[in-house]
Amino acid sequence: MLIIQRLHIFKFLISILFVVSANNIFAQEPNQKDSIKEKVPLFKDFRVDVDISPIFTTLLSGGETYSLEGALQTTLLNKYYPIVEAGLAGANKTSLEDINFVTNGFFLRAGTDFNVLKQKNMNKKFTNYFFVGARIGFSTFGYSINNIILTDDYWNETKTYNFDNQISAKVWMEIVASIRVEIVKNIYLGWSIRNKNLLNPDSEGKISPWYIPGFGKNDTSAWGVNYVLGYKF
Amino acid sequence: MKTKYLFFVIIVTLAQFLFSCTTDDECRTDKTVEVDIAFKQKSLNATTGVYSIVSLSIDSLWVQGLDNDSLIYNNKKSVTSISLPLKKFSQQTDYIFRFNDVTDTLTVLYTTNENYYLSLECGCIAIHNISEVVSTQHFIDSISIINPDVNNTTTTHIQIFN
Repeated sequence: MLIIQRLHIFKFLISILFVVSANNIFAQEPNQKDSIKEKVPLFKDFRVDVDISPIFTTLLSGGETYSLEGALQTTLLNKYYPIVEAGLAGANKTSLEDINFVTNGFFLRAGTDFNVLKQKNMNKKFTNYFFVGARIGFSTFGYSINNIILTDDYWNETKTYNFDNQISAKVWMEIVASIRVEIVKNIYLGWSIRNKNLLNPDSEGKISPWYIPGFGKNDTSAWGVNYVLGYKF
Repeated sequence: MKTKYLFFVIIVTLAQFLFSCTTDDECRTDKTVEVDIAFKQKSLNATTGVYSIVSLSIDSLWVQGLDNDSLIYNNKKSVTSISLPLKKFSQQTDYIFRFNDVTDTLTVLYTTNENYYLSLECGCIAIHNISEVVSTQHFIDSISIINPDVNNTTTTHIQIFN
């Protein structure tokens, strides 16, 4: 899919997002200036998220890839929302030329979010978040590419190549926009949309993995969407 | 509350587009690797006395690989350039050229990368770097290596002078 098409869809989604959040943005009350300066706790609230999108994405990718992930996010100084995400992912794909690719690996992402949504007051019944943030992602994994066949038609020679147990470590950066809506007390539902950029791509002509756990299909940049169910404690 | 959920559902459904548009599985890269040879001659400009290199057209050409029964070019007429397959898993390939009535043997010596990886859809190709080209000199006067890198891009690699 062309980068241009993806950008248009992303812009469209973000514009819908602003319509939704317009209902929730309130200005600060003027009497806040007179209130006693409250002690801001260092850490407050921990929320555990589980990615429920594998239910959809594994079906949509035709069972070629899988990714399971969870996250832990907290509120720091009522301003920052640091987050750690971790998971397992893998792929098993055979191309039209019968070349097979298999990988399984573990990934980790860490970063922080900022809440763009203003709360009218802290005692509101349901707290919703519209986050914008960044991540650094990391994955180390093994992969195999098998059955690459080279034929020399004129000279009548054939060779088959197998590359087993290749080890790879990938690092990438992400910009993330997320929504977390508190649907009932302490239970959150939401989604995240991510733009990922690989920091150490493979050089041309070298064997490279088709799928990178936590990142997606190997490309200099990729998009990702998660649907998330969370619990705050 | 209801409109909020409606927006949420719309966004979720639209986000599916990001997943449903998958890339085509076909290999879209050209995987043909051949050595491209151009026939040239030096022509003297009578007024300036300067030689320039111009294209040479061979009236009838036959080319086959040494010890290979099938002809790569079989009585091709008015030929100025040709493309030949190098042995993929070797460092040397020999060809027999017949220019009109005259026969020459051409030998190309090179190094090979047998598995230059393109992608999962395309697999690998064998690419070469020409180190030397030698030949008999019945029709062929001299040979120039213009570009030693033989891969899946089209460019003139060797010039044969008469």
